[in-house]
Amino acid sequence: MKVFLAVVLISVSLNGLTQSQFISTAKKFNPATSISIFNNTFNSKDYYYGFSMGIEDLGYQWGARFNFQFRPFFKRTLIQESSSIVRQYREKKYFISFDFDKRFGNFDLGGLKTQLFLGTQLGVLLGNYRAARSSAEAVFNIVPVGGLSFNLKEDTFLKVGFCYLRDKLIEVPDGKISFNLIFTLKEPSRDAVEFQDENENKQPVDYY
Amino acid sequence: MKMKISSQWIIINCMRILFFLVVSFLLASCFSNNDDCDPTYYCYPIPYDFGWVNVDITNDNNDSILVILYSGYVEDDYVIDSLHVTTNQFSVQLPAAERYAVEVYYQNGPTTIIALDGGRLRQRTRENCGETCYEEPNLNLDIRKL
Repeated sequence: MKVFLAVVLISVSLNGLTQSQFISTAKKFNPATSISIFNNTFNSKDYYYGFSMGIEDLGYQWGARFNFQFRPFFKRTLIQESSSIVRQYREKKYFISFDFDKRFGNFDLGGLKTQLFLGTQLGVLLGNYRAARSSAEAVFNIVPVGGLSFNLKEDTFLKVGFCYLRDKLIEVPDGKISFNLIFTLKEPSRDAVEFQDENENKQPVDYY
Repeated sequence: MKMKISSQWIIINCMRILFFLVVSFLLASCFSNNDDCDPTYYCYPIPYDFGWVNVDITNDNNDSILVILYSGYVEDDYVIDSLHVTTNQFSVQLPAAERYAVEVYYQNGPTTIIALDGGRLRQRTRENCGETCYEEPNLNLDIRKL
């Protein structure tokens, strides 16, 4: 965990340098609505599905979203109650968070425009049990997340990475894979429209 | 010109979302069998008073494992029965439409694992040829040790 945080901090501190090396175009704040209806977090023992909505700044290449994820089935989970007693429940989980991430770097991966991304999810992990009135202990989480962002089109990002979501369950490792498909709903820019119109209206010049 | 493109863009995106919703609705309705009519189906027209609570536990060595059966939620502490089971599975017949909880005590060395599961013993129905048919209530509980 400490190593991961150290890597995150170093990467963020080098972020400006990395961007200036790879991106020469002038940046400006260029927000677009972003929607994810396929936000998955999983490992071999657990699975969360979710959706989120927020903004994606296509200029400075960062995103912020409200996120809701849940385990779509009752799973058998183990919780340490005391040194000699372990409780096993059938449990559903919900994760409500505010997500923030930053994309940087540019490289081709098999012809696909790819970037690195780093971010965090600030939220609370809730849960309820079958056959019990009591609910699972709410776990406040600051989830570091990082990985690769595949830019499928100008407005679609597939972010595949690793995150560290603490759930206080004995049998579920905290390290999980994050697989998130984000669409941005961006209007065509005025400049692009005007440029297109100029080309359309151009008449061939007869020099003779 | 700018306004035209904006509204066009909004309409296209709304159409996309609408298309997704319609496809989802159609797929869901494809799997619904409310309008089925099977004349060979045996229709039981009277609601059941009792149903079966089927419990799966882990007991490969056929040990004597303590099982406590509760009515309602486990915190209500309304014990119906307390029994020792020596098999991997057992069933109990209980009044339908009620909620039940089952607790199993596994001994794992010095550690006791208390496993819990439960739910409502629902009376399910289906429509067949315009008639309401009742299915025997079953509640399947998975309290196998992890």
